[in-house]
Amino acid sequence: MAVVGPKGGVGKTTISANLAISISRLGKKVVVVDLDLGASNLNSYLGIRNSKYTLDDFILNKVNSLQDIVLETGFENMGFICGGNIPGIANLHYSKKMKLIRNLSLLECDYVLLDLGAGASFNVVDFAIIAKESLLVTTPEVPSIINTYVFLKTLVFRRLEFAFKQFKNQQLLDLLAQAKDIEKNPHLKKMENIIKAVELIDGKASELILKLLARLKPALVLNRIRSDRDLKSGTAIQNLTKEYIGIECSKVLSVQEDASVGYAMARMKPAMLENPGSIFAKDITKIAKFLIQQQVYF
Amino acid sequence: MSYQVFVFSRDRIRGGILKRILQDNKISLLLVQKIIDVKDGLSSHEPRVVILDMHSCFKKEVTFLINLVCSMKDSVVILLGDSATLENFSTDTLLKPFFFPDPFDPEIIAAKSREILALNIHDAGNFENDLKQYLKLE
Repeated sequence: MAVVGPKGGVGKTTISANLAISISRLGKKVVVVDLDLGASNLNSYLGIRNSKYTLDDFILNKVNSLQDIVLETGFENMGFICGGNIPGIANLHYSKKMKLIRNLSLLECDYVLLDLGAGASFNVVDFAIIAKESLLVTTPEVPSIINTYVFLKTLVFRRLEFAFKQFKNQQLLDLLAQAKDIEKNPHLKKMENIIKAVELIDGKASELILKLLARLKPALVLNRIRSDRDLKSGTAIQNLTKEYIGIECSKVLSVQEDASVGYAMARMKPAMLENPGSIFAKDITKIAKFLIQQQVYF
Repeated sequence: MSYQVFVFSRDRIRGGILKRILQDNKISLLLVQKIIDVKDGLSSHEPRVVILDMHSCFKKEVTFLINLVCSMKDSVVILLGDSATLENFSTDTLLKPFFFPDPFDPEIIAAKSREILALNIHDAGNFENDLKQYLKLE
């Protein structure tokens, strides 16, 4: 399960830390992994100082598997992999990335929660692609929603690119390249038109696209909500992604603005623990229950 | 008349201080001191922020304000007063109001109002169209 925040400062890491605690409290074994490569700080949100192992140990081949660097958090059912900060980790080599992905799938738990970095770089997008569920964390302001849309578009195009490479048909890849430039090729602005164009080249490829798009159903988490009006930004992004990218956000979840989160952060403690009766804690628990009911397992 | 913030406070001093601080922050507001003026003040224009001060309120007035908060959809509500009174506001509505229990701190209330106003500049009806323009989808 990937927690993605296309824009910095939207509360992605706060939600990752507290969501992991909430899932573990619901009786599921969870490992939360700090994959904000080059800017990791999830340990501070969990109040974990002096981590014995970090992702650096795995990247530098000091340990054999990712399981070896899972740290205890003090919370029952919850493990933690501390992020790395060695120079260059933000631009992880492809082979290292694939090794990391393989090891993530081998972790011994019900849920692996990936706290990914901001932006739409391929490292972030690729980890989101391998996850069975993506939680897109955003705030209701225009810049955040724009970044969320751009992230989703990048994710879909990246996924299609992988698929088209399997067909070994240069025409399909050229079409995808054209669709990236919507000013020059406005007829390829909408996914339905891209699919029609693909169908003319290869019928099987268009069928594959439809299957892939049907599988991509990220959940949107609107953080720091203050009014019903804010919730409408969720509807707007749902409409746009459906119309132009051809995917449906499976669910719009909301987390209300809550001053207790800031107070907890100032004390370097998760808000779920510091104020379990807070509005924030209740909203996070709702999200955790939703994810468990979805039965998203690795 | 259009205003960004609506303030109800029975307490002349608290209401007056809050009015002054909000005005210093260049926030337009309507201050009412009688409970019967609250409904009229909100019926003509639903402001972005509604500040309700429970200080010196009677029980029936608190009940009235609880019902009012539950019915407000597009305004962000900030509640002031002592902690015991504010506990009555544990509504089941989706969006909970902000609580600023006593001691009364007008600067913090003004800062929160400013933040809410700054972060919600878009009109909900045009939001999707705005996005399309930013994303060059139109």
